[in-house]
Amino acid sequence: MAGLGVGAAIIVLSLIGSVIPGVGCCNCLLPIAAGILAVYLYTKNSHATVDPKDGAMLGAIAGAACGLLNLIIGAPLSYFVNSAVMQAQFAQLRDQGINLPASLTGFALVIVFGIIGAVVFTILSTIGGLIGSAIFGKGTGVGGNPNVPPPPPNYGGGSTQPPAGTPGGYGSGGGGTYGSGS
Amino acid sequence: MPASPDSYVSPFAPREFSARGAWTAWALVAGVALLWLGLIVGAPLAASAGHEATAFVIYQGLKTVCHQMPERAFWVAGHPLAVCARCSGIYAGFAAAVLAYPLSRRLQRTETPRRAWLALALAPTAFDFTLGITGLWANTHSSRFLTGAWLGAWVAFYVVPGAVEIARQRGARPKGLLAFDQK
Repeated sequence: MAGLGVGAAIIVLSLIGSVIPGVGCCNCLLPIAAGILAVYLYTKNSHATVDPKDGAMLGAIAGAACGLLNLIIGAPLSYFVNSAVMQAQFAQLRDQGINLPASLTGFALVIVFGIIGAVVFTILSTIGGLIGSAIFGKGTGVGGNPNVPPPPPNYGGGSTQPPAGTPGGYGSGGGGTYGSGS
Repeated sequence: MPASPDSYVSPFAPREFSARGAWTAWALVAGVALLWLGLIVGAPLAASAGHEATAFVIYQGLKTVCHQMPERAFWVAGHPLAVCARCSGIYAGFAAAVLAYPLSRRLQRTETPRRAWLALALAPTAFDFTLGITGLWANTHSSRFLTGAWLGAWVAFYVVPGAVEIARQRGARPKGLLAFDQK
């Protein structure tokens, strides 16, 4: 859900960028920002540790959502705004002897390039997710393995003993429930 | 004699990661970065060589992530690059930093710089963009490219460790339940 929300926000920003001259210069950073934002929202809501694999996955989902929304909203808008230009480019290609299928109309082309755009969005958002996992993931770096549990408190016969009546650790010999046969 | 707590090895701990896996992850990232850069430079080259359809596909494919204003792009062989000067800088800086990455640190290290460094990396680009859009300073192709390259280069130091870490996780298997190293 966070990915879809981020995707919608990025598409709106992207459309604003295409309307306001100069702002569109940051369009390449928007999918990357989407990936970072998706990881940030995920960690903020769930307080879970996000490793690079999860970050990349979150980024890819946000990017795919971006691409899908772009295909639904951005591509038709682009067709209505740029259809004349695209038809001219199409005619120019045909004039140069390039054998394009007759069924390939301007709208079909917009759809095809919308799908290519979705792939581009997904790649960049995956990079954003990787960055997001590095800066918002738990710990100082992605190399820490937070899933590794600490050793039992009394491992190796240490002096720390669990309170009476609680399950003991490995080798404690008393009070344990696991394998105690009770 | 009881084992020392330091000798405990969790059953969930990954096996020691091989250098080969790290190099594979790095090669994958470097390959994608170079391919991406190749598309950007390849579009004008294809157009000038008469491969208009190929150039058209690349230009339209990258249109979703860049405004592609010809006056804000570098030109090669009489045609603009597939993205603007700032985007070119970001991707070129990223590719260069990925290629130079093994020279600057061991690939198996997966710690990333603090997030403050990413903000510092973004600052020149944001500064250049803000001054340009407010009209306080007329930024140039060079300023856009160089500030973008600075940002892209720093991004590599977050992406490569992440890719290596993913490769580490994919290659690691739990050692089993009896993982206590009691020699």
